[in-house]
Amino acid sequence: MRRSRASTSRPVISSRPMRCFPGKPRSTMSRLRSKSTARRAARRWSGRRAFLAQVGLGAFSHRQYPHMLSGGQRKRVGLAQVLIRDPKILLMDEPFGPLDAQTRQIMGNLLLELWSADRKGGAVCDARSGGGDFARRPRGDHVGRSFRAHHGRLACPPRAARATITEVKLDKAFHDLHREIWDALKDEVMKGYAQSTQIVTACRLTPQLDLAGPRATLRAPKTAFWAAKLRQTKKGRSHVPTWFNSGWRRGAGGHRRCSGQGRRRVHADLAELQGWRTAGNEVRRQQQVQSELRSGENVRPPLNWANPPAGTKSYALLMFDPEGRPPVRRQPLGRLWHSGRRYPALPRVRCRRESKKYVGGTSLMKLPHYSVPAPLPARSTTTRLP
Amino acid sequence: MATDLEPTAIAAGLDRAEAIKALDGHVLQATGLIGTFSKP
Repeated sequence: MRRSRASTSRPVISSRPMRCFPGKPRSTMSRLRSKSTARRAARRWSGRRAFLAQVGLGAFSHRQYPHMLSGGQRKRVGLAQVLIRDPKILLMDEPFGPLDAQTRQIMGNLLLELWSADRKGGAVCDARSGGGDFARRPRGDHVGRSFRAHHGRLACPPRAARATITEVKLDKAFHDLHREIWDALKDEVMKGYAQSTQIVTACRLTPQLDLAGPRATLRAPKTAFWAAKLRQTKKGRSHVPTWFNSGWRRGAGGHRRCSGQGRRRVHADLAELQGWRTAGNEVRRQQQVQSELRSGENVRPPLNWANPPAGTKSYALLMFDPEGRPPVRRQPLGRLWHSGRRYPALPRVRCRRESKKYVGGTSLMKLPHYSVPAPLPARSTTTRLP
Repeated sequence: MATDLEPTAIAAGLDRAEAIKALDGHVLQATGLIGTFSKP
């Protein structure tokens, strides 16, 4: 971004991208600068502050960042950034949208004042593309000679000197413009309204996907239960996946094969994982952690379509499963392979395999509700509708 | 997709392109669902 110089006649309010009101010299920096430079910078800041005061932000300091401002305040800052460049024409798209009614009134008066006082040769254009928006919110924040672009042409009321925006709204020319625009946009607005009604109807017809299915009365296994269960199994083959029985663990020197205590620690980690996955909830059998190989059941969720369109004799269902390709490789140690895509299993093993050293961090597998995608085995079924 | 075809109008064993071709002009209304796999 081009930095504005102190000697420019038209200072830019935002010379730095992150600051709202930069330019005021910091105290430490001003000590380092020459006196004339500091004076120019202070003069520049005072000029900007005048524009900020015009938009009602005079009390704000240069330390305000964009995230510290409300939506309306940001709009006003944007307006000050535009006005400070002394434009002849302002093209505004919903200029006072996020502002409240009072501030909108004040900003409208400000624009009217600028137009009538300083910008007599200029014009304020309010380019609104959406006719529906105009119909729903006929705020009419036209300022003096405001132009309105719609359907490829400009509509503007005759120029009239008004003191406030309220007087503008009471003006007959404004009413004539309002009526003219509404007459021109009415058909499009009603067409858009009808389309939105159709969308609502389509939403009502959306089939409801019910994934409830048969529930098994299985309580979530507690961590202590799993730990005890895993201790009972010497190699943990009954409930522990094969990749977890590999015996890799993270030690002080990196990763090493372990047995005994280390393996039990790994198993305890697994129990913790499974405790997170099933924490306190009644789980379905097909969702139970039976195996990391995802030998789940083929559950067919019922699909309901209420209020089908007239003349419906059948339903067609197209399914697209981007992951539903045949697996190309069984899972190796430390990784889960599914449908030809590789997913990280555990950081300790993954890091061992890939970078030869432990780099820290957590595994996606440890996050709740995260696991590898588990599409069920594809099987063509034919359902005859009633 | 809600169609005006008889349930037996479309033969079994069509692939995706063939099914779309067979349904062309017979779809009264269509909707879509996106399902994601997750694990509790």
